[in-house]
Amino acid sequence: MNETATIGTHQPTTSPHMSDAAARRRAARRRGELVFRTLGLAALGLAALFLIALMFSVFKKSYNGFVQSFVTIEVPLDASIVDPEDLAQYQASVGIAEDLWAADITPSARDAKSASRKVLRTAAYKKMIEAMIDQDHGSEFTGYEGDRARKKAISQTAGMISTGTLLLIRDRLISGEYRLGETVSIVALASGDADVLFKDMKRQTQRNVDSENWILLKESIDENGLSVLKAWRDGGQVSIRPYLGTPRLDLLGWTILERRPGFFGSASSTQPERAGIAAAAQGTFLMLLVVVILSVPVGVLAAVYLEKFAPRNQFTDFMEININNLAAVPSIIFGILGAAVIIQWLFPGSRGFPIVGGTVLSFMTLPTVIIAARAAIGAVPPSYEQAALGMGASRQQAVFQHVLPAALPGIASGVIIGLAQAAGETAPLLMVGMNAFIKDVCEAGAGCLMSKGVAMPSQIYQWAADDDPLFQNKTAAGIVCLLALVISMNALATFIRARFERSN
Amino acid sequence: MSQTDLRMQARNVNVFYGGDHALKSVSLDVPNRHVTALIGPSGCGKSTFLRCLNRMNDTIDIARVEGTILLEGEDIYGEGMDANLLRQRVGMVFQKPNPFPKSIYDNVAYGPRLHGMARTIGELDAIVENALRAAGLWDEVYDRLDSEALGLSGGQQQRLCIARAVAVSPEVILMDEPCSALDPIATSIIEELILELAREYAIVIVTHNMQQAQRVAGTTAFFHLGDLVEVQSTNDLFNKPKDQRTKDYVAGSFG
Repeated sequence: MNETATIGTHQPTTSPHMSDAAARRRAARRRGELVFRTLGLAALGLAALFLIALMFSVFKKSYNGFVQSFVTIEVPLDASIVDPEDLAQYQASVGIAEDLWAADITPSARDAKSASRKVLRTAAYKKMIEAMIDQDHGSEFTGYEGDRARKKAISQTAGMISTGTLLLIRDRLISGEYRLGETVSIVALASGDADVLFKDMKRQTQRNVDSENWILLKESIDENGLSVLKAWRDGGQVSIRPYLGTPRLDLLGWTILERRPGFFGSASSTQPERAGIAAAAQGTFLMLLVVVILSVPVGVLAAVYLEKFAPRNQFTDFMEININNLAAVPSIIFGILGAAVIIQWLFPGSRGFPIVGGTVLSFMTLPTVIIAARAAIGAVPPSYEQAALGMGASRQQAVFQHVLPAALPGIASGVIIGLAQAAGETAPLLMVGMNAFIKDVCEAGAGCLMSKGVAMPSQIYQWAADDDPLFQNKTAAGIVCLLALVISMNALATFIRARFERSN
Repeated sequence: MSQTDLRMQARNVNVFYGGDHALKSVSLDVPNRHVTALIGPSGCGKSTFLRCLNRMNDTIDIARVEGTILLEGEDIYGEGMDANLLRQRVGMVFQKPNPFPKSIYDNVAYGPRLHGMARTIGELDAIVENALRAAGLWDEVYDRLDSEALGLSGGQQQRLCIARAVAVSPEVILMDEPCSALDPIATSIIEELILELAREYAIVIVTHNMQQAQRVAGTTAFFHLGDLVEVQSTNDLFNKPKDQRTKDYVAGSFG
């Protein structure tokens, strides 16, 4: 007992591990670890902060891009506005407006139809809205210096209705759904300026508004003050464009609705309120289709050859280095390749075709697919191949019947990650003209591969260049869509890999 | 022993891995209905020799084989010999059980399908059943032939691999340390199975386990540093070794 105690007290003073210098070393080491850990956490926190800030600003902005304002209006379809000069021609059109497209008509009737269709097509429909405003509220447009100023104020107020609504009225008149002379109730798309204004007002007066539908009442404008709105505008709180002047919102009494209409259903447009992501989504889908068709067979077979059949020599080493380097080549280089080789040399006139964009993206995706597929094939236990060979299978049979199926999950996840990369790529698309202005969703099926198109990233790029506040919102909404696409693709790849890794 | 005919004859077999002379002028006979064991320390060339017998060394780019190996009097490295057909006739069971990630049935049926041995489903079913019975696995799996082979235990997987090899009606079965990854109970089952199979097939087994060689083999060959040092009946090799190296090895002095 005594002896152990002596040893216990004796050792610390003589052991080199317990000297002061050793204690200092330990303290310094602990300090170093603490600093390192703190720095690491700080870096992580900073990255998370940036990510949250980005997400927050994009998602906040995107809401107005997804949601569109509508107003309910009662429009008298005044025949004299459609055809002020030739009443007789208008009367002919009224008679046959319902069956304008019927087959069994006499030549004279056909002439009349053709003439009336032309009249209907070229009529000034905005004047209908102006007439409606003048009729309902004309007496309240007072205090303007002269007729011209009054007309301008009415015209600006009518400008709160989107051109899209005017086209809707026109198309329904041509198809016979509406008849001239009647008064129709329309849930009309508000113009971009009006939309932004309404949304801003709704946000500012949120406390007074309790539902999706709210009524812009004359009284509420008066009480909360059109003057308040003007003050917001002057203070920059309301993004109303300076040249818009002052539409007489106080006079309208419109019921304003916010809906989720066309963003997913409509193509791009010069009017922000009508612009949607549909054409771009279609273009992206078509391009990814081309990428799958081109890069999967080529990439997977190249990987199989390089991994399983190619002789090990300088040539294959050289190829391998090049494939790895290609994966790191800036994507715009592939765009230049596509523009120079495919568009200028091989297929002139193919600029902006999704099949060309998809081919260029395939070049870009191929190295990724080959590298991922090689890794997946290399990870298959060699025992499968050995067993097959031992049974009398040829190399080719062993590889295609046993190695490749076992590598498939890894290959699939690699391919999907390559596709996600391709889906988000912008620069090469700009080089091959995949940033066309597309105002209608293509409905030609496979022919859409060979008509000018646009993709989601280049659509976002177009919108981002427009300083209209609603286009800025559409940009954010487009970014959210693209992010959702890419993130869900990556999640799918991760899921496939995790799922099959577990089962093996 | 005098009744047994020779299935395979190896004469002056040399194997080179690049510049490395792995097997030096080995001559060995493989009798029918008989177990031949190859023993020796690691790197002695016994597995290399085994892999010469069904040309699995072909899959290694740098391997070069010289000499003659006859199967039923036919040179397996000759021009008329198809390596894939050879491997059907000379089956192989590997060190680690390596069933395909498929069903039990598909594992056994793989070879017969590959070589077009069955014309109807019924014939294929019969081949699979017979092979599984030969491997002593039928009673354990007959009611779950469609379940995953990888769900079997290690010993069952190895017997499945034996069934898979038997299913193509080979003339010789090569076994490369077939029990080294198994526990003692599974090992003894496999050893019994080997003795059972030896009534019909010529079997060549590589083993690290000298007791195993004594238990299953009629003839044992001792390899050392690429040389075939000695080949005798198992009893004689272990009890009356002629060569000093053999004596030292079986006495446990090295290896």
